[in-house]
Order: sequence, then structure tokens, then C-alpha cells
Amino acid sequence: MRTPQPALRTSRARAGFSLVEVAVALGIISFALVAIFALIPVGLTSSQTAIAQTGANDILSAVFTDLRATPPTAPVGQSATTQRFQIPIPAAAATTSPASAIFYFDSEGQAKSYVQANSRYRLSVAFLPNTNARAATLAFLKVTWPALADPANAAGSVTMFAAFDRN
Amino acid sequence: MRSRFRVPASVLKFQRSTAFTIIEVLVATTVLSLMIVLIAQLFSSATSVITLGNKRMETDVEARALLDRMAIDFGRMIQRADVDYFVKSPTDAMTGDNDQIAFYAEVPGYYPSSGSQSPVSLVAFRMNASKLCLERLGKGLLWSGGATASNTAMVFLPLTIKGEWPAATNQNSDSNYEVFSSQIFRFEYGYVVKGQTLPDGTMLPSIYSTTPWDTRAGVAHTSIRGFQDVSAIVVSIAMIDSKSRVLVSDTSLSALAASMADFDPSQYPNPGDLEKQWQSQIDSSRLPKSVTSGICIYRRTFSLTR
Repeated sequence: MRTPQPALRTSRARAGFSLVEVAVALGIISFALVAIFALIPVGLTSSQTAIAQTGANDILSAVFTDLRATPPTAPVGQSATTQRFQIPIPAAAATTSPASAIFYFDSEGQAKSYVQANSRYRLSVAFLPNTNARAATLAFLKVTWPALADPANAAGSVTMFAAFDRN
Repeated sequence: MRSRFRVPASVLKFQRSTAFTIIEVLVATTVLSLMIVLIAQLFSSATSVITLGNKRMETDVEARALLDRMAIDFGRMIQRADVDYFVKSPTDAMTGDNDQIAFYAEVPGYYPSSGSQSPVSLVAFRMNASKLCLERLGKGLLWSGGATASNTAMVFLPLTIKGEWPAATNQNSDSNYEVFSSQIFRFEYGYVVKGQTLPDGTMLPSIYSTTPWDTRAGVAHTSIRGFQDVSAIVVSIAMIDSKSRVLVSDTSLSALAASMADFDPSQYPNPGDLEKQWQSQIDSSRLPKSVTSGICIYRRTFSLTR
């Protein structure tokens, strides 16, 4: 930064860094630091998402098993309720989709129909219309987190489409 | 800086402005030390968050590898009424300890050096009680060609896994065992038994069970018959990351594992109840926080397709 200005060389004006120089240096350093610090939340978010996705997949596998293990009714096609999560399965043929069943799961995988302080995931089970009484029952499962967030604004989600035989 | 030493003697009276006063130095050092303290706090909290995240990620990776392997093995399990299974059942209750499972599956294994390799292997998972690790047996089996080649080919009932390959059903050593994970310290599983509707319209709901067949009135099966009544196998595991593992002795970890309940639907009927009991045992154990923060519980439901 020592510009060769012989006239000023002997005066004390160039004894140290000028205020402008320091300000510019600080500006560059802070710019770099901000960029580096911005990487930390990115890493944390991606690891949190990975953890949440693992948990959500475990929930989906448990719920799908519950739906599949529920026996067919006699006569077939009547409404039923699953045993473990108490999910109401509509009667076939469903012409309209009933309201989605909503559940809230904590980190240990316990399901409740209401939000608790330790709820982490929100599961919605929507049954789609199927064509006739002997057709497959169609379900759309969606796990979102955090539990309190509206699914449209959730931090992340895992979805699954399930078709299972209830005959 | 060099120019300072070339200042003529005539201007030495202005020396005050060429160096810092003690006040300036004091103020600068105070500000610097304050900043260092703040940044150190920032770094220490960031480090603890990152350490916790790393622990969690390490167990996640290990658990995913293990559970994915189980998904493949269970998915390719040979489900026939005429073959034997060594699984949790009234004859092998596996209570008060880690579980063990052995079955035939269409997966590759370690084959004998000679003979025609069949696509079937004997697969077993067990916790090695002395080494505190999960071991997987993948014993490649040969085509028997009708011969009674002992211990090398798949056998049908009444020959049992226990009779032919005792190491798959106990703690004996076998060269085909490989350590799958040294971070897992508790391994439990149970079954989701299918619901059934009887001809008279009575519904038998699906249940969690420690018996792999339906013993309820109306159906009352008495044998596994190729997992005919089982809808899914539910596996629960507890894992500890390697950094926390070195802080805890085998004895303490075994004691913690022993305090974590068995898969018992009569006491823990709903999904997550068992995991809650495990977590409360971990939280109430005397292990330091740095150890318990590295323990994670995983549960996976493996649907059996038929």
C-alpha cells in the first residue's frame, strides 16, 4: 500500500494504515466470514433433514403394515378401523375422499390424535376414491415435520401411495 | 513503519502521536479480549452442536446399513411350510436377552470351496454377548442333489436349523459369521400377526405377538408354516456411536442393555411404547450425558410379502 509519493515519504502521513484501508480490509474479511458462517446452518439443516426422513420412513412402514394387516370385513368392502393406529378405512366403493385422518408422532414413534409438546411428525392418511367395491383400497400417506406446521409450510415431508387388497 | 525511525530530531516533541498511549493499549486489549471470549463461546457451542450431530449421523449411517441389509434378507426369506426357522416362538422364547434369528434366504453367502452353489444361504443375526456386537451369518448352501451331505445343503423338515447348524442358534463361533456392527448393543424383534375374518363374520384384529403364528380361537394355528400368519417383523435396535462407546465399559453397557425391556405386547401394546421404555432407561441410567447423548433407538417394520 506504500504508493511511491516521494513528497509524502518523509512526512508521517504514511506511518500506518489509513482508516479507509482498515475499513476496506475489515469489509473484505467480514464478507468472507459471513460466507463461511453461512455454510454451518446448511450442514446442520441437511443432517437434520436426513434424521427426520429416516424417522418418517419408519412411521410410513409401520402405518402401511397396520393397514395391510387389518383383516377384510365380512361381507367384504365395509368400513373398518386399523388395530394399532386406529385409522378408519372407508367402505368400498368410495366415491368421494373422506376427510384425512391426522396423527401426531413423537420421536419414539408413539402416535396420538392430538398435538403434544413432544410431537415431531404429522401424518395424514387420505383415502382416494376407488372404482368399485372389489377394487383395491387406495391410500395416500404423507408425513410432514415439524408436527405443528401446516403441511403446506412444513420443513420437509415424505409421501407414500399405498394400494392394498381388502377382499 | 520504517519511516518512524527516520523522524528528524526536530519533530521528536510530537512523539506522543507516533505511539499508542497506555490508555489506548488498555482499551484495545479489553475490546480484543471481549471479542475473543465471545468468539470462543460461539465456537464451543458450535462444536457441541456439531459433535452431537456427528454422533447422530454416525449411528444413523450404521443403523441404515444394518436395517437395509435386514430388509433384503427378510424380503428374500424362503417362506415355505416345509422348512425350518429359528425365530422367537414359544419354544425359543428369547426373553431377558438379545434376540437371535436364523432362516433360509435367497441371498449370496460364503460357499464351501467345492460343490455346486445353490442360490440359498442360511442367514442368521445374533448379538455376540462377549464382544457386544451384532454378527450376521451368511452361509452359502450347496445343491444337495438328493444326497444327504450334512451341513452343506438346505434341509427340509423334520431336519432343523438347530440340529444342522447349531452355531446359527447359539453363541458358538462359526467362520461364516461376520461382525455387522459393533455399535449396536440391543436387538429385539417381534411380529405383527395378521387379522382374520372368520366365516361367521367374527373379526380377529391384527396383533403384536411374540409367537409367529395365530393362536387365537377360531384359527388357532400351532406352527409357523412359512410365516403364513405374520404380516410383518418389527425390529427395534439401540445403537451407540464410537466416540461415546469408548467412554463406557462393556459391563455398564451390558447392564443398560439388560435394563431395556423385551418385546412384550402385553406390557408395551402400542407402537413406540417399547422405545419409550428404552429411552427412559437410557435417561435414568447412571451413564454420563456424553455417553447417553450418543445412544439412538431405531425401529423398522419389515413387511413380509407373500
